[in-house]
Amino acid sequence: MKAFQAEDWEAFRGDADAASEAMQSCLLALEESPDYSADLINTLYRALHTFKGICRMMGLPQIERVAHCAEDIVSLARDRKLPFPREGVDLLLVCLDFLQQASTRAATSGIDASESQATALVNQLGTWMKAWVPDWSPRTSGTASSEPDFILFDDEPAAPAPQTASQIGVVEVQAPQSSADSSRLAEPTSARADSGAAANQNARRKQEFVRIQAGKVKELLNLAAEIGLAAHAITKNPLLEQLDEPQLTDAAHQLNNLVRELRDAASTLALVPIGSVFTRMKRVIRDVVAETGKSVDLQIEGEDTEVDKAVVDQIADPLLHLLRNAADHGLEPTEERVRQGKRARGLITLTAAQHAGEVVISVRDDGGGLKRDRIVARAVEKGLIKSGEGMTDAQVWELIFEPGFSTAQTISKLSGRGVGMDVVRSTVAALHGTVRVTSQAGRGTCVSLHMPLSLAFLDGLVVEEKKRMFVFPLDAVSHIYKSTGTEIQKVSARRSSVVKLEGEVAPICWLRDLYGFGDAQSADIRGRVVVVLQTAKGKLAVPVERLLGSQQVTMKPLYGAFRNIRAASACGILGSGAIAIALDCEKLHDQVA
Amino acid sequence: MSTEVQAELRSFDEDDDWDDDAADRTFLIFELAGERYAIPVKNVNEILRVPEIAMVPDTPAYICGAVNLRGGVVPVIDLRLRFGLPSAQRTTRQVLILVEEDEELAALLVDTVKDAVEIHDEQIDTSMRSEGTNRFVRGLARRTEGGAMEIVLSVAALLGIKSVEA
Repeated sequence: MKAFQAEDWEAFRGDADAASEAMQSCLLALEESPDYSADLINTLYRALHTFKGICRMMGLPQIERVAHCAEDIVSLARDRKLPFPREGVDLLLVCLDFLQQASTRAATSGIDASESQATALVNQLGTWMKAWVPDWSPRTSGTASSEPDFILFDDEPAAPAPQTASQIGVVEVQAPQSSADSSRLAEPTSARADSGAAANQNARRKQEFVRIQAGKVKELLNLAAEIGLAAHAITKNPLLEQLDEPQLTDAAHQLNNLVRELRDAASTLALVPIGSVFTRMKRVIRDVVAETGKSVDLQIEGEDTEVDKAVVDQIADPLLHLLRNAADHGLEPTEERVRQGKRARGLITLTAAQHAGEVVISVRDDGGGLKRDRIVARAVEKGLIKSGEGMTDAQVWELIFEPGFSTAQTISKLSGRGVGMDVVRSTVAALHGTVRVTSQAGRGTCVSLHMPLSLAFLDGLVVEEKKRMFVFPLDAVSHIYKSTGTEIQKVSARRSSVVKLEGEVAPICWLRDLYGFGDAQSADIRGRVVVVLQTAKGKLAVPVERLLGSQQVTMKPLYGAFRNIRAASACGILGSGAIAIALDCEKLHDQVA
Repeated sequence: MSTEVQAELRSFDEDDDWDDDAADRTFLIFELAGERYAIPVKNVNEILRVPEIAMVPDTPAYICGAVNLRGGVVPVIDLRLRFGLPSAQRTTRQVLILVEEDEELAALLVDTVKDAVEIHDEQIDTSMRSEGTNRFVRGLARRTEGGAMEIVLSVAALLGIKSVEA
């Protein structure tokens, strides 16, 4: 057997993942539409065929056998135009799990699945098929040797062969002429068109895609950021104005505009549709339904919404947790719902949408809502608070994000895995985002994750304090005012004073005290510019020496000696090339607590 | 200062006979507070004039700030502070040496860069480490009889990745 290189296995893995994802979305769609659907069956067949082909190419006969057998079932449905029964979907999902696990293992170790496992599955599939269509007989005895050639995409020769088509860590880029295509629930994510699986369905209104290694996009983003800095250095040079050459000034202006457009265009390259993650969530809900016996409808909206690749890579676990929570704890048992006159089937809505430079992903259930009393009791028990008296609902909901809060309750089979709401929050914070919760008794709960559209750049407010520069996300800035000192309230004799704003009390956060670069005593707030930040815990007042205005800031990860800067989210590089620390407003609020 | 040194470094790069052993033996000599120090050239990415150093909060005391080098943010280590010496007035002769170890980058703020030389292992005396700074010091090098001494430093230790084993 030919020895494969690591790149071959990476390519295999990329293709296998794409194919299984397509299979999964088809199977889940088939489940919802019991009638015969030529589109779905064809797409499913194609995905399985691709999967089988790449397994054969990589010399994995056991995995190939299972894929082949699954393909038999699908081709039977296709040839005889049979509606696909529910047990068939169940069985193929089991198959899919096997194919996914086995191919992932093969990609890392080069080892095929065990023969006994494969045989067991093949027999199971065969038995079911005989029961389903009694006059059926297998095309071959298990292996795929009857098929003459290794041809992928035999119905569509134009499709690229998988070994050149993909690599791990790929972002798929949509060619510009295609407008957002409102795909139906049943459709596989449109961006996967070249996986071979979705190709047929999209054939008539096919979008063009180029698969690009993620690293190359990153490189382009870096270059776009750097060219911006270089252009800034030239166009903002005071000499240019002294020259008094209108042509040159115009050209400089033009250059600046083009650079900004280039940067915006480059940053959209790192955006991918969130659909692939949402498809996986359908599967989760299906499993939850099976385990709890609750009947749940999952409604998905906005699966075409484009988000940063990093969001797609990291948001799955938090979403899993939120969905399981919603199904497990949020929705009432069916009898309870009926008793309250609600629809018997619970509804969970998973939504993604873009609002002004922000992506909002939310999980909403129509269950009983958060139980204030229970949360307070638990927080008291955990020593997080003394009592819930005087706390607003929003403050109470915040408690569920405290580390360790959700442990015992959620180590049920479903919501377990040690992921708590605190992990949801920290994952989202790492993506420079925030989590918000709203809840209404008897009506349900909504948890929304707000993240910047692009993680490479941030629209920020730049401030200076004691010669250090900081950036606040513009979205988190509630307002800015000049202090007269009258808004100050001393909470206790010791130190923590707060300002009173529109009836709300906000603690003051002196950056110089927090980071210890100030004089011994806090400076007087009177006459200072105060930036008021809106965080999940409420408002926070940050007095600063100077306001340097708002601008797009290039975000660089914190590493080495900068890793432990408190409340920092990134190193920001300003248009001038100067460095400012980007602050995470939630963490900043935690610092003054 | 350093155009000759840069040229010399470049000539090392271009030399075809330049094998790994020779790279391991080549050291960059710089001066700080009247002492001569040596660091392996293989750790040195670049020598540059001191750009504007941005002050950054919440870093170890020896980090005097950050510089933006072609879009990357790199911490600056003031070697005087690292060695427990009082920090000095900035001068125009000061340079930054951009060093890398284990994919971690840092810029060392030093007084001047002198030379790039070969130092053989047997020329490094590891028995007599100077007091106080010895967690950064691999040994003392004397290349010629009666010649100048250089204090050989470990870049990993300077970056706080690991200290020199006693």
